[in-house]
Amino acid sequence: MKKIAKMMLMLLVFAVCVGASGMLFASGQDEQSAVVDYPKGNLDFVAPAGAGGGWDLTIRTVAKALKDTGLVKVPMPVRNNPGAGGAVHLASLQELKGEARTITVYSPPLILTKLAGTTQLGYENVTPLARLIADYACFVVSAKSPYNTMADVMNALKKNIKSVKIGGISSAGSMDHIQFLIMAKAAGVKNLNQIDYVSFDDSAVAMVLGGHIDLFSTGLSEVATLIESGDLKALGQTASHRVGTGVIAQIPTCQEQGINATFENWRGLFGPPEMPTYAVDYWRETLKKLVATPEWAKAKETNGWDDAYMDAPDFLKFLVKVNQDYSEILREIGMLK
Amino acid sequence: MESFMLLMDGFTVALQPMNLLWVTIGGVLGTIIGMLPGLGPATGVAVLLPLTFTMGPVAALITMAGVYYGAMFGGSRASILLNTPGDGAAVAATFDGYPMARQGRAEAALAISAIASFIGGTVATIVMVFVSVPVARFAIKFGAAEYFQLYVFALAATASLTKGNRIKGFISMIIGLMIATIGIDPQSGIKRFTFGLLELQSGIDFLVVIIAVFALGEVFKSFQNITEGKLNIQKKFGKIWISREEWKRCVWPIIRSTPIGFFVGALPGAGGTMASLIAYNNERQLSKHPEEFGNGAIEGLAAPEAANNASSVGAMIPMLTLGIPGSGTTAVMMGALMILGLKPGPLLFQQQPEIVWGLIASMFIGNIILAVVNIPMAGGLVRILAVPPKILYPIILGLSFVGAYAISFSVMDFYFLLAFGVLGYIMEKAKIPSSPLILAVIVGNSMEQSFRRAFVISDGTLGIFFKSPICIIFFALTVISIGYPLLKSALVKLKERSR
Amino acid sequence: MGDKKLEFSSSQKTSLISGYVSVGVGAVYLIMSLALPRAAVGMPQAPKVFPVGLSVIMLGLGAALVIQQYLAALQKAKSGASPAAGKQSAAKAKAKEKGKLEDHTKKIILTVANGVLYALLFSPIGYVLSTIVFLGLELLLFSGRKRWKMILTVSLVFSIFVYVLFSSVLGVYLPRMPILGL
Repeated sequence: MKKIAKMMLMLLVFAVCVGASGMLFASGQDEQSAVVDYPKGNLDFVAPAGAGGGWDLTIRTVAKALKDTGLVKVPMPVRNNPGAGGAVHLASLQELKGEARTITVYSPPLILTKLAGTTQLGYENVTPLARLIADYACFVVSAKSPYNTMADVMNALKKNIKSVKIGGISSAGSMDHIQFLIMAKAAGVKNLNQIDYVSFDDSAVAMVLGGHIDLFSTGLSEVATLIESGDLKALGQTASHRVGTGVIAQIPTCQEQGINATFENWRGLFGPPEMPTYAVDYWRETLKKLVATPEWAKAKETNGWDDAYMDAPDFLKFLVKVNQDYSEILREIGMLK
Repeated sequence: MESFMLLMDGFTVALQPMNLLWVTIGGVLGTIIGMLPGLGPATGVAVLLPLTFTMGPVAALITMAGVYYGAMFGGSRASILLNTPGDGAAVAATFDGYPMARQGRAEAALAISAIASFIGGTVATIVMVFVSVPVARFAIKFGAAEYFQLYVFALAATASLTKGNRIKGFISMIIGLMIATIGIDPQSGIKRFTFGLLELQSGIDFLVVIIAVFALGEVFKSFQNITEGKLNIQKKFGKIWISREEWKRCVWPIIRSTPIGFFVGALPGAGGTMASLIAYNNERQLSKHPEEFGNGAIEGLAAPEAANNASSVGAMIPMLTLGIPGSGTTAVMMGALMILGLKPGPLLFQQQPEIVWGLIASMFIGNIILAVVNIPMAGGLVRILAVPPKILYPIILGLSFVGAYAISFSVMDFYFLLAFGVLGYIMEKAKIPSSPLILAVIVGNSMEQSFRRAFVISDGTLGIFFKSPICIIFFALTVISIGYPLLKSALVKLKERSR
Repeated sequence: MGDKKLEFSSSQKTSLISGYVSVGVGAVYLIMSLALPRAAVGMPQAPKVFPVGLSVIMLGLGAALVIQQYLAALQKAKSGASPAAGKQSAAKAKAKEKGKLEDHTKKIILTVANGVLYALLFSPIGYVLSTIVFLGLELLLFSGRKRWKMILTVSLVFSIFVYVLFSSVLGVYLPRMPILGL
């Protein structure tokens, strides 16, 4: 008898726990379900990299802005699914075919990782929703550097290809490397694969500040505060126009300096492959509204992001084009797989 | 004097009741997170991100600082009581903390760890108030070659100062370095030893190896220990405090280890693991009775604990002065600051002094509150030792797996966890020390990369490794740490022979 | 010396085996390192240098460990410690060790197998269910069948507590159960 009573009690505890946690999850669902059919329940926002990086920052900022503006009322918990430059998450997205809940952020590495042979998956294996923002490449040197313009650097490279050591955060063949090579190619530097590129994880900024590398190839927003404080000298940025305000707006574009090329570190949102049309339509609509809000404008300003909104169909065309551009450069340095 | 005034303003911010509440909540939560295997300060701060968005920037920063320090405190709790460090920085606390607990001295171990952490953290914060800018300027003198020499020194010292056969210490180190070569090579983009697995492309996370070698290794050992009746349950618990005698032994180690921790922490990318291991090695080398190290020497716990917390203060320096993340945790904190609309960088001190000084003041307060909260909390925690091992070890196993999963949300890590658990067990049986392996896994990749970077920067000449005074100092330290024990044992042999 | 066989203590034997294994690991790793592809940018052989260096050091350390054991045994043989007694006690110790090894080695293998099962079940049936199974089996291994009530309680409470703690409090998302949306 006693045993049975204990068993019953245990079952009861189990049932209560299940019920309680069930309620925890249900709480988010009820308020919305009456108004629209989608989104229902928790959404699933994913940064395909660890906490603290650019993707993480972007998706968290988007989630915060969507919440602050009230455009999306269901919970948008952000999780991280890091690994292999986003390729791990790309693989797990393939298991979510036709899902409507999962929203992810990607940028040029989505294309570069496939071209460099890290993964078989690429932009064709996700559903583009919208391009949101762009950061631009920026080439900085330490305040004491002899180089003052992009032309100085390119001329030095033409004279002696080993004379300028380029540092960046990403690995060889990825963004920081490619963005410099695109400029070097446009400036007429030959033997691109002979240029010394050094990958530095997170410590690259310290390396250029300490004068250990000659030039640091990075994103404008990464070094904006150090340019403002005068610790770093910006030689050029890769937008087609001047961006930002104050000191940042004084940085000349590469095009102004006679290098006929641009590079943008675009960031956009994506869904899993074969995302249902109703969900795609919902996000196209919602993101279009988001980019017009003052909250979003504020977020762009603090992060130094440029507006690069592009609706899904245009975004797809854009992806096809950049895929072409990147593969040309990688072929030239022999890293195309 | 100006810093002092600003700091006082900071205190008025940090001492507001709400902020005090936040730092306390953050500290307690951090302690709990830090105790779970695999969840260290970086995860702790990351999981609390959503919570901090609803607060103002000052409260958010203060809470995060509380979580950071709390997790550092918590990590060593698990090291001492269960031999399962929550993250790299807590590894050194197992060396003498766990033996102390097994000898029934857990109370003293927990107390000295809290006291040493408190002193390390507080002293480092005071130093930071005055010298953060010069320290940051000095830290950027470290180029690839300097980092390489630093890594070599830390590794060589750890391998050569381990107990037992020195050759085995170095074998352990090489195994660790081999594990660290797995993944995409950043300098060339080619894949090395990935066996076609996507999960291996970014390498094996060192936390998986730590959990495997320590927590799983402990579970595997327990099977034998339970049958042999070696695992006794502690039933009576004393007060969480230390004797005057023990305190005397710890004073100097704490004083010596704090600056080591502070400075190593301020180097971007070096971090708490290196700081605590270097401090431990240093004390062992200076000690008059090095044979006690690893068998429950209280100063062997005090030194890494002080260094560890000092390094977490040091890691804030590159973030606050230059906008460079000094560690994984500060990288997450920086991301949070940016989402909150702040721009970490050299101008932060000028543009938003109230936030920076509020943060620094809350470091002081956080340290005090953590010490106050932790000592009674330890009184409860120590009772883990009263849990029957037959229940405790399966639970450690369960926590290890969930901790490993939380690192990169990949079930593949379960297989690595099991494989390295078995490796750790076999190494234990073969009397091969595990600490050189752990440090090698943590710094191995950075060490190889800094070697390659220096090589490219110098156009393939080796001279760069001896060019700067910093390089030469570390090289000399490496030679001493390998040569000194060899010389000592040779001298002992000579004496024996002459007898 | 020729016909006299060297005697190794059991700890020396483990060291000898460690030495041989190290040499083996070094050799395999060396072959794999040499087979690495050439780099397209920078120096083509650069990615190989460090791994090859590691394997060479590993080979050297392994050999050193083996030689060390032989030298120690040789010295002992020279100093003329009674080999017979040593042999007997060593054999005895070995037999004793073997008997014990069986039981806990078996448990370690079962734990590893249980871990593999856990990995296989984790995503398909969700955290809570798979953990109940995993922890239940592990507790069974530690405590035996008689304690089934404790086993059931601990594994249930642990799984649900950890799930709620991670998913709801810490925001670390664990796989859900296919039913009930847990």
